[in-house]
Amino acid sequence: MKLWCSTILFFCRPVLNLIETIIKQILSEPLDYKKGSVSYNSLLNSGNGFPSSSTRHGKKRRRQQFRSSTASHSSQSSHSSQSSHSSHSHSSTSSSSSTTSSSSSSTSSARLLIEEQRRKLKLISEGNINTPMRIQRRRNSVNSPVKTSKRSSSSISIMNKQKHHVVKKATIHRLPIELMLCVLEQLPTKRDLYNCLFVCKSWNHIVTPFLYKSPQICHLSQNFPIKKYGPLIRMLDLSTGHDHVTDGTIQLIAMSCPNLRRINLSRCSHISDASLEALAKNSCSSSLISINLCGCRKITDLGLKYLSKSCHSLTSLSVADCGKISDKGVIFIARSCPRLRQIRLSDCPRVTEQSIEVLVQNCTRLSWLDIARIGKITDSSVRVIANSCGEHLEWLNLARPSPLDAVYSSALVSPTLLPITYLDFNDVVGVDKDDITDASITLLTKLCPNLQLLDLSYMNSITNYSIQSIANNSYSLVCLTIIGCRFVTCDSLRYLAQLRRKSGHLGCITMGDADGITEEDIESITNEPEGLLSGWQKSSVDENSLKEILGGSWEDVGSR
Amino acid sequence: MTGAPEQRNVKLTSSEGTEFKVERDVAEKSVLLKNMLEDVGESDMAIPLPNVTGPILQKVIEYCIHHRDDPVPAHDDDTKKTDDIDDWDAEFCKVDQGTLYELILASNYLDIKPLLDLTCKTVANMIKGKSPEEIRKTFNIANDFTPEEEEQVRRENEWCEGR
Repeated sequence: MKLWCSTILFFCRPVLNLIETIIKQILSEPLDYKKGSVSYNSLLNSGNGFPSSSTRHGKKRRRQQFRSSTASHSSQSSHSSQSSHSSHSHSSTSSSSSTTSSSSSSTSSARLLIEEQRRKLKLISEGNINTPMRIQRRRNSVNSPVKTSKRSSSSISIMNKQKHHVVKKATIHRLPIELMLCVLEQLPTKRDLYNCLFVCKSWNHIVTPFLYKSPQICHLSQNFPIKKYGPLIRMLDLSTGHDHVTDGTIQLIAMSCPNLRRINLSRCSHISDASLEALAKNSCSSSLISINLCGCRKITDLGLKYLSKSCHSLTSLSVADCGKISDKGVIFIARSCPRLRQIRLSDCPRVTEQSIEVLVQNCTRLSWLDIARIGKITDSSVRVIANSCGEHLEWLNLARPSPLDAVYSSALVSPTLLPITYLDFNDVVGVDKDDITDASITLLTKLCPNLQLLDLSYMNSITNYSIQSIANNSYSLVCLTIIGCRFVTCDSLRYLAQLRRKSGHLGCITMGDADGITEEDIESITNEPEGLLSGWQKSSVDENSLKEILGGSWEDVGSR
Repeated sequence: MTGAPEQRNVKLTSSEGTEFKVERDVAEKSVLLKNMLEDVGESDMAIPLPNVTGPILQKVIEYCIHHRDDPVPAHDDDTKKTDDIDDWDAEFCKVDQGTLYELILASNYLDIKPLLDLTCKTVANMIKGKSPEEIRKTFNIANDFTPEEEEQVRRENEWCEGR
């Protein structure tokens, strides 16, 4: 897409690939034993309508109980159908971003894609660079012990039992259920699973729960046996059939699926607070750990109040782009869901620092915090975030709305409430007030050493000084986005190049829509003899190659 | 598998008491053994593996030797792809079904993820693309459904037919 091409970015393909692989991995594992995993929207940010958003990923981050998904991301993207670009966050953003980006192209600001070779990424992902390896290990250690211990004990018992009799006539029934599941997991299509249902009763008993654990349905069709098999369902992703999902659908699900753990309702724009009431008042409320309501614009604070009353296990919640949500709703959640690890509040202009402070003080284990383009937020909240979440924090999206973003998205959310004229709007939401300064960013980098993703887009006050402190402190950083930071110049790139050399993690820097760094600057730095940015490439991708990079994995998220 | 400069041998005993000597990096392909060796430290004691028979252990060691220099499996981006088995591995898996199941059990017990994946994939390949009847034939399974029961299964699951 043209518009999109004109955005600026600068990133490193390995990272994307990594994300992709990681996501796939995560998806390929039943998610249940991951403690805090979440079917989240991978990309915290997805902001500003820049492809940049696609770059988030992280390596180390998954160390902890990461978190799958991305779903909403993709969902968001299709949502922004006008642009059909896979990383736009929502239509409002995307459309505004298109404006932004075209303007940026006219100013010919840097729009670059710096990437390392796929080859290199391979190396990385194969563990030649330590982090990804750690991910994998970690992941194994999260998963396999559970599995293994179960498995091996059962296999032992079976072995012992069978040693005496069978040995000769080994049939596939010799494999314990856990291992049969390992085999079934390798089957490429649902069609094969379906065939397995008919083989014999014992296979049927193994396959049925497997098939219904995370049924790939886009909405509830008439013939879906939800009443009978609802209890088997752990995960539902209805985002692909969002147009068919109504409150009635959710009520039926809530009543039939007492063990539901994750539900992705991203872009199900028909659903209202009644759906949340149903989820909260049925027995799935205690099992639910992840709810994605991204783009469900009818949802209000009342819905969050319902959730807060009974869904105390929530570790992941996305209400991104739910413009009716305000501080009140966020505070309900903050007070009753202390286990929250991931929350997305991006593009909720009525959420302000007031609730964010309550949130981070109550949910101190937050590792993902996406507060991109919310309402007013100042230095003091950034300090509270740094002080409260500290070492847990891994992904932080503080992107401010670009001026056009802000007007457009808020106008969409509530045309009647918010004046559309640009000046008035500034007064209401505090755009361009330069609220967050170098001092708080510096504090943040010092107190949050595990930050892997940081998005500072459109922060109009931060300077090279912030970037320098990032370079000095954020050794875990993988992704940095500084779109529209007009006081950041190419000196920052040098700092970041040094950070990359020291930490080996930084894989993607996204910038643009700012005059501080031009394409020439980047070129000259890339060509510097010190080779600070050697191995990085600048390139521009079009929509297709982006898709290729992402391998369509966004679409898969949450659907398995 | 840090490739310690001096390779110590590790002794393993199969269920019948046969002793196998392998180099430490080969043994450490097994997470179980790796952890054990880390916990125990240097020792000349043979490690008993009562769940694995000699012939199977032999096979497993053969696999581990062939793959000793593989990087730690960083990711299975091969998820859901049953056709990416390399030639050596494919040849390795040309064994009778009984052995294959034993290998699955052993690789699970010893916690050798790549071998478990390989063997499970091999079995999955025997299922892939087959009708229920062909699957039964392949695995020598009797159909214990009555026609009515079969019909019921079909009805319940028709939502996913053709996917």
